[in-house]
Amino acid sequence: MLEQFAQLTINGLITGTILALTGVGASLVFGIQRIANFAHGEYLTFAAYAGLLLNATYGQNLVVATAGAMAATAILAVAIHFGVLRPLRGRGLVATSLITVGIGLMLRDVIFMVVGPQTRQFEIDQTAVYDLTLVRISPGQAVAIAITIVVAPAVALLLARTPIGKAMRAVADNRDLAAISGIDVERIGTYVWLLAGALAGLGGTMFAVVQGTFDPNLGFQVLFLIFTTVVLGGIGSAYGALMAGIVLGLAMELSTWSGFAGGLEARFKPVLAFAVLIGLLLYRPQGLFGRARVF
Amino acid sequence: MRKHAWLGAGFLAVGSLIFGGPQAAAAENVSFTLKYGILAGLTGDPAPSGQGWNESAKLAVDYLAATLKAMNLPDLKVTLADSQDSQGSPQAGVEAAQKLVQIDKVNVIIGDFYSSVTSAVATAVAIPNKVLMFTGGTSPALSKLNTGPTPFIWQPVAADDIQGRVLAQVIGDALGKNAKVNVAARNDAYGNNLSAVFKEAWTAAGGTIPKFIIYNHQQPTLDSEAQETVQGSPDGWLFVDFCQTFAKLALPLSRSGKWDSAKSFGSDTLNDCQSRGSKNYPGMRATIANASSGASFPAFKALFEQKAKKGVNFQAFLSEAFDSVFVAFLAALEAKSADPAKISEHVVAVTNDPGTTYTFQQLDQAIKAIQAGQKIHFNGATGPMNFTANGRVSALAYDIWQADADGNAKVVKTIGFKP
Amino acid sequence: MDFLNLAFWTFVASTAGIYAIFALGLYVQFSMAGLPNFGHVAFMAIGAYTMAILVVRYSVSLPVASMAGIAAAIVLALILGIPSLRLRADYLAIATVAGGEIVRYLAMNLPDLTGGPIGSIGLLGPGQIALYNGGWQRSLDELTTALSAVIGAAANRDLTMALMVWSIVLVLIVLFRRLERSPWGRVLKGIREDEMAVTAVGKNVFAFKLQALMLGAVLGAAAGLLLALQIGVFSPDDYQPTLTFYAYLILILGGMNRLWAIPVGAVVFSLLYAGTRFLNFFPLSLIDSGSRAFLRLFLVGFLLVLFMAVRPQGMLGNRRELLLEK
Repeated sequence: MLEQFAQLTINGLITGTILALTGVGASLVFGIQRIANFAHGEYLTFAAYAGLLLNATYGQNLVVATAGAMAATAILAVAIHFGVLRPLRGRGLVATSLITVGIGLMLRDVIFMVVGPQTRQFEIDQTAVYDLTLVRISPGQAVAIAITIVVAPAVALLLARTPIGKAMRAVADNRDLAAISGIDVERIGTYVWLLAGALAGLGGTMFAVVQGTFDPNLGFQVLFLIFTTVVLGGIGSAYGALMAGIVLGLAMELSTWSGFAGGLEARFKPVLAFAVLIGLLLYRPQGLFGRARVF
Repeated sequence: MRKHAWLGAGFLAVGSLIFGGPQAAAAENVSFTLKYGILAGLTGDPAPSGQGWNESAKLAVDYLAATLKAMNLPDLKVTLADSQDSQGSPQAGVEAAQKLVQIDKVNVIIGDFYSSVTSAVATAVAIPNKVLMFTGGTSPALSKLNTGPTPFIWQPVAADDIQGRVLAQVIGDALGKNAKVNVAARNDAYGNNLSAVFKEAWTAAGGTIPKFIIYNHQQPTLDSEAQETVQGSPDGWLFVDFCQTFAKLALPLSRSGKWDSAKSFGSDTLNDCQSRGSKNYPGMRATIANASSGASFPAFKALFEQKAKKGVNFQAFLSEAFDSVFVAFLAALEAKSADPAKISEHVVAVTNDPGTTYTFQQLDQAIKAIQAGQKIHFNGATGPMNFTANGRVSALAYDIWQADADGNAKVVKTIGFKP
Repeated sequence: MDFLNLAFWTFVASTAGIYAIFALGLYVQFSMAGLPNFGHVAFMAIGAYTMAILVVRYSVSLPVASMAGIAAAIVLALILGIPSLRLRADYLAIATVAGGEIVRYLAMNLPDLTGGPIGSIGLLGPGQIALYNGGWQRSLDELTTALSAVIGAAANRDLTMALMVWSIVLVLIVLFRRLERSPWGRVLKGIREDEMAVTAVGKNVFAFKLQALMLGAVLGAAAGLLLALQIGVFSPDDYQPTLTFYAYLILILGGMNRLWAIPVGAVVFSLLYAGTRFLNFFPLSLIDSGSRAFLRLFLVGFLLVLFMAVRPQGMLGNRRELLLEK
């Protein structure tokens, strides 16, 4: 039972960190651009296939493939920002959401057309197991852990220490105040898309690697979990999203632990995630780390 | 409205004139056009299976058309009117089927492979409009939708209620009737129904099921599901899933170190996953309704790999779509008509003994035999088919496939099954 | 190809009418009260499921079961509304998506209650056929006979259904026009424009919002019931979040914040959605049928974005009013 607990914890941490990193990007975008990006899932899908192209077709290792996927997805995010979302801004939450729903549909079906519907996998040894006495992990999970151990602190550092990071948080927190204090809100908006795209790129390849096999529905299947992370942490709060992702990942996995009143059936995991969200909003309408305000 | 009603009546009248009267059909000048429509979930979640379903039905229609052309039979025509996307949803499926039936005027719908969509389309479109449906859905309820005198819903797939009991028998023979077996099934109509039938049969015979897990196969990771699956120190496992999504569960399963694939059994969709673009797990067994006597299965598979669109993988339930196209045509040929009600009367005749057996590779000979008024038994890539009058196939024997250490799978045993 | 086949388009017309009723529910919630409810489809699901379960398992008569379906939707509105209505718009949007997904997941994962993923046909367990609309079809047939006598030609079920649905739509629109100008409607508009001001004059904003959510839920459930009765079988896959987005699209297509534009939006949307099923003409017929299915949804997405780009105010709306939306 202890073993199961340890295994669930490590699995929860892996899923949680991926959600957290992807959530940071989505949250900043939501906070700064006021866009609930329903196409965010497709950014992950795009990244997974970009990574696969580098890994399987060009024989690059996972780190290179992930870096490439991050760059490609960042470019995609910025291109969509300049091509569609920026020209069409100022139309309200619902209209903008609809636009991103449309973008998501287009992206998903283009990916389907280009790569075909069948499942794929990265060129890694899927059967190997690292036995660390208490837990057993796959090479894919090991890579995911290694990459996130590097990236998560880097992102936190970027947001906490660098001028750009501070500016991003400032704009997300209060756009008008940030503009008055001399921050170029437009430029920050672009940087935020770059960051969100790169993190979605990371999330997409990591999900693909951890799952083992994936198809073009990969991103859409996790979209609402990303949104849950964003809202749970507080819209616009990067640290909130980091925390919420990990909490969510752990909560979903550990709820199935048999020491926990026999454990919840695993198929109710998504219900649990959504119920936690609604339950929390009852007590903290602004999420875990969001600032209470009305507008 | 007046115009519409008139058109509708006119269509029926013309239909019965052309296709109808038995007196109109002398053997030498049989002439009809059989219109097929494909219905499948081509986008979203069902896309991997749906695209394969579409490809294999299309292959069959192309093959059929090419054969007719080669035989120089211009009076017999087959066309594939359209492939429509049901999106896996009954509502979208009904709209798609309305398009096939009302606009394209198809005689036969190949699909859907979701039981939910099939039941909606059958009740709302196919049966009221008297159009044949060959479904890939495995729910035993589907053939019960045939309440009228003529069955319009045909189910070329072995239904869950039979297969569940076969699995109980096979696992009982291998592990003992009182063994503890954990069950893990995908959360769709197929997984739910089949695992439920197995549970009933298994516990009735004295076995126990420590863990019964239904998992959402669309979930990103299935780690905690795998953890649950190895709890309760079972003697063996039963899995109900498709090869592609099973890989997502098998990975964390083998990682757990507590899973023994040699003590695992799979549903018919999990037999020889390696040949379906996924992989086999050493020692794992799966049952399938006597496909090994369907000698044309390898030929179908070869044809699929050669002709099907790149990026669409071979997988479970594809041979059913493929076979259905030929069964519908041969029954139409014997009926000398493309009228669905007439075709329906001949489906049983062309898929049962007595009669010379033919596979799709001998399609030209099968056509000649029927034209000569002989009784035939068409053997599909799925096996001898043996359709019964209620619309279901009745397999009398089941193959047990097993994967060896290298991941190659072969039939290790064929067992008889008395329903 | 018989593109102008009446039977097909009659069917599409019924669906369009049902979508109009569904979108009308959003109109109350969003256009009148300013609540961006992204989980509207849940009301459709709960209405249909409650009705089907009562009819199939407990042999409750269809009208009573339908009333129960609507009542269940009201209860769901209360459950969802109490935690979420105090939220800011963006939080509310996501929280309601989550609420809708909970309903869909539960429908899929509680087979003993709902029939599971196979849907309503499995309500009596695997191997059995559960149908709930026998009574409905009989009454529809009676209506059809009556209708045939009135119009002096043979009507059919689909035509009766379409006429009935659209009569409901018209009645609802007339009612809503009055409702909008009633004191209640004016308070709602006030809440949408300036919540503070409405609070300041002593109105209980929360109660008004909850009422709007409940009224929308009634319409959502009614649409769910009609759709379930028209199709005859439903499954959890019918209640994907996408349906709510389509309802918003209908609101915007016609003209945002305009009641009488909703039917126009519903018709245009249905024409597009069903019309894109006809992509098998030259030169598109050169593309294989599998890819055409992806192309169809791609086009739906493209038209959505294009429309929002060129006519955000809808076909009948004016741009000035659009700017009032927050």
